[in-house]
Amino acid sequence: MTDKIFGRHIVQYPPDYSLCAGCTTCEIVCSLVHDGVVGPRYNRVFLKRGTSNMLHTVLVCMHCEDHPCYERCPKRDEAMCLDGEHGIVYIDEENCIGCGACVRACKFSPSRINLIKSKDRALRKAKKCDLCRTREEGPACIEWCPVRCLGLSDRPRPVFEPPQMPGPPPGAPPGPPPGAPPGPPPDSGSGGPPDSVSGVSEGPVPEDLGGSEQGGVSDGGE
Amino acid sequence: MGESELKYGYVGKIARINLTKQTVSVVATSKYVPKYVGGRAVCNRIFYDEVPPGVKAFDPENKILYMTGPTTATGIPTGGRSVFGSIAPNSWPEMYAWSGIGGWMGAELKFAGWDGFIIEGASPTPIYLLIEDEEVSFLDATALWGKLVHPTQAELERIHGKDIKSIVIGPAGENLMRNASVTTSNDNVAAKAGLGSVFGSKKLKAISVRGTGVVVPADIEKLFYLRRNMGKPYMRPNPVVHEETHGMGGNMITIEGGWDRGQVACSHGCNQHCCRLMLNMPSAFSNKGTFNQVEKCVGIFAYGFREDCGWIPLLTYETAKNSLPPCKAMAGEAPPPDFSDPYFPKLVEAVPGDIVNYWQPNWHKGSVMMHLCNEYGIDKWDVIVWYFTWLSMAKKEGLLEDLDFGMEVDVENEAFVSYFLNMITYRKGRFGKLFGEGMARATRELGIDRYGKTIYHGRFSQIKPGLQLDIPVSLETAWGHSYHWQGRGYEAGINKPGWLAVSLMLMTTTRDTQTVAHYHSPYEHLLEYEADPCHSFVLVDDVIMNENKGEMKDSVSTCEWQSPDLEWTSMEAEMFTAATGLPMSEQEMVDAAVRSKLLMRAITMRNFGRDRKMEVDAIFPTMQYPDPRGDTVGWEEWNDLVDLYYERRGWDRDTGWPTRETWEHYGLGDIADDMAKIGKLPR
Repeated sequence: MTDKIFGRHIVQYPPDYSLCAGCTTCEIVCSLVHDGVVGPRYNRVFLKRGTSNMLHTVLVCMHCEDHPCYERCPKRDEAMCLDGEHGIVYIDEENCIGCGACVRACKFSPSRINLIKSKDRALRKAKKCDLCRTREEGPACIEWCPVRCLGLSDRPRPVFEPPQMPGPPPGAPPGPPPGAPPGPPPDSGSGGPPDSVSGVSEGPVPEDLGGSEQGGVSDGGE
Repeated sequence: MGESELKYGYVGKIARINLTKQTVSVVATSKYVPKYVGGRAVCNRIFYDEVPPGVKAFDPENKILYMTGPTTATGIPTGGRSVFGSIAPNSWPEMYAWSGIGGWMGAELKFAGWDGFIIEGASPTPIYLLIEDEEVSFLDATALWGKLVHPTQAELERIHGKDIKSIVIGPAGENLMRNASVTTSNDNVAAKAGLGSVFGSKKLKAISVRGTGVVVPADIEKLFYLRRNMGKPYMRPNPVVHEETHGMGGNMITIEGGWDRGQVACSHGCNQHCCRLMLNMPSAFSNKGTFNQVEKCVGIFAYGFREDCGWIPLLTYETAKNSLPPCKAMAGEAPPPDFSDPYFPKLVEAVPGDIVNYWQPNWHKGSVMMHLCNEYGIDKWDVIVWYFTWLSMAKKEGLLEDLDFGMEVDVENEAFVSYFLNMITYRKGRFGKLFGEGMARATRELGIDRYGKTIYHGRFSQIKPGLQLDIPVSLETAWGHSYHWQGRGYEAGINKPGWLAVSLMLMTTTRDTQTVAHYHSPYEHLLEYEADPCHSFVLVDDVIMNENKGEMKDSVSTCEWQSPDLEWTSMEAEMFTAATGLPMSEQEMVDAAVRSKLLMRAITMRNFGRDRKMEVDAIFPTMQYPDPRGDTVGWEEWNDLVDLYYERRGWDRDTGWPTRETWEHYGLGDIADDMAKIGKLPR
């Protein structure tokens, strides 16, 4: 496989760079900046909760180069659209009829496209990551993640990213607290997977393409 | 206020769920808010209105009240916390108490369209509730009954899908073990009141929720401001860290091969990650390899308890330049010290914990203790601080020689730890039945003078080296709880004004308050009252401030990590308004907190006979054992302090009962009338 598979997308860093705290801030700010509400049908980024073992995985649209969601949309270029310049597959919700074809076409399991179901046809809408394309600050989930475990990836294939250190937000303390473990420098790493912490689940991997999920540690037992 | 006016924050409905009749009805949230804000205050009002005197914890007439706050699921940090209210099986005597919990379920319940629920009655057979938006189903839990906590969570996810959010009890709750907890899927617990056994008494194994609706915050710009500023989040990576040692001071242990530590958030939407995640820990079950667990401060002592927790004044006393929320140290996120603070050297003067020699550091055994508490669904606090310290001390004092537990009592022995926890969870044999009743009841049944009050001779001060300090073998303080920041027992190092304040806070309530309302005070206030704390309105006002903040935290809701912020005293009111769009000044929020405290007072007076004599008699003896400096408090001094407190609260000095003026000032004239009818309205 040499072709580009993914476009620019949100990526979750490995836990030895930053462990997802399970706070769901990414889901919340996503729906807040897009719709002004908080609700599980409105977020475009999904926290796959590692219940019991507390190891969580962030799932989000990878903006696939072959974008089957776009291909299957009955209102292609009106509802599901392409921003060719930035490689973003996005939904113009005004024109979305909420048929769910894109949800079913998504090659990931679970689908990375959310869907509001309603008896009122006018309220049925699909929701997917648009990388906050109209937002000056960029993706809100990255900006507001309290543990900086999310970033943007331009990598065309599903590998672990070298973390890109986001700039400190306004009002953030100027430096790490005493004893805080240092993060890697902004441009460190080869782009390959770093040594993972034993038993800790990881971000999107090839198996996630409709395949099996990465295993975590034992949940305990009876 | 009409339901239609609650456009933001709240979702408008409370579910009244009757397990006996298997019926559901709707109570408008607007019946209680904004006057009672949410969370604990609403629970208090509902309990006062609906549960008469004479009801016991395990009676079907006892209710499980559960309320979210107006900030829950809005994205305002800490709003994901929610609160239970019920008659607590572990309090002595049984009394109404509250118990907070994190996790994702509170938010999910609001997505389903409910601000909370009132569970009443009891099922004759095991049952669990499935709440899917408007639909509430009563489902057979026969196949779940007997399962451990995490397998129950896993089974519910298998049946109903990974996106279900559940709270469950383990075997301890099923068997009416009075320290049983209720556990979320991310290992948060409501434990302090032992409400897991109330679930068990109702044959209620779990509550699972899936919601598809929305919560609408009123002021999103303000919400983001709160996210940026509450608790001053570090907004930097949170790497898993490989540690070579665990614990502090004399309890530090070196672990062969080390261990991995992460930090996680406790609840939906928080901007902090105060819970320690211990990765790949040794399992209590030999065939299951390893497990991950969440630890808060007390858990550290499961792994070694040779000496008590130390203290620095900064944990309690703050300046504008230096403050340290007690739990923040656990995340390794102590804010950088400001050395320009003239009080800084005083703020960090370390007070080492007493030598207690309860048990030696043991990594594997500590992990087994924690794991079994998690899976059986038992309050770790009582296990670590009370059960096992008692076993250790009682054995060393020769009290256990004529008690046959069926296995040699040895708190250093991992097999005994497993044996004892299994015994009290499943109520096996005479001592399983006895200790499953909790330490307060077990020691009384055995004989409190011998088995509770015998002095342990292994406690030594490190402030005055060589000084042996008396402490009873049972670390019981008031109301069936164990010591916490009270100058003796667990976390004893706090100074005398501090433990006086903490004891005063405990005196007027029904459970340990320090998990949600650690005492905080400006350092400059300490300078005013440290010479004569029992005659200081400054200290009393700080106690009342902390109590009010505790009520606010469980009502708005926020938590111990974020509040009180002594430099941002209007924070809770601002959270409320950002969520609901309803104006709320700082003073109005204080009044709402006092109203909640008064409701608690009304409940304890009417249902449980509370008055000055009862509460002074309960708390005063607990302070007659020496603190690490060898100090205690005298009867006159303590009663002088109580006088000042009652006066400031607007309560009668002789009885401790609020005056009509006080009830009416806070909009509780109906309760004044009730109190007059039962002869509890002071003239």
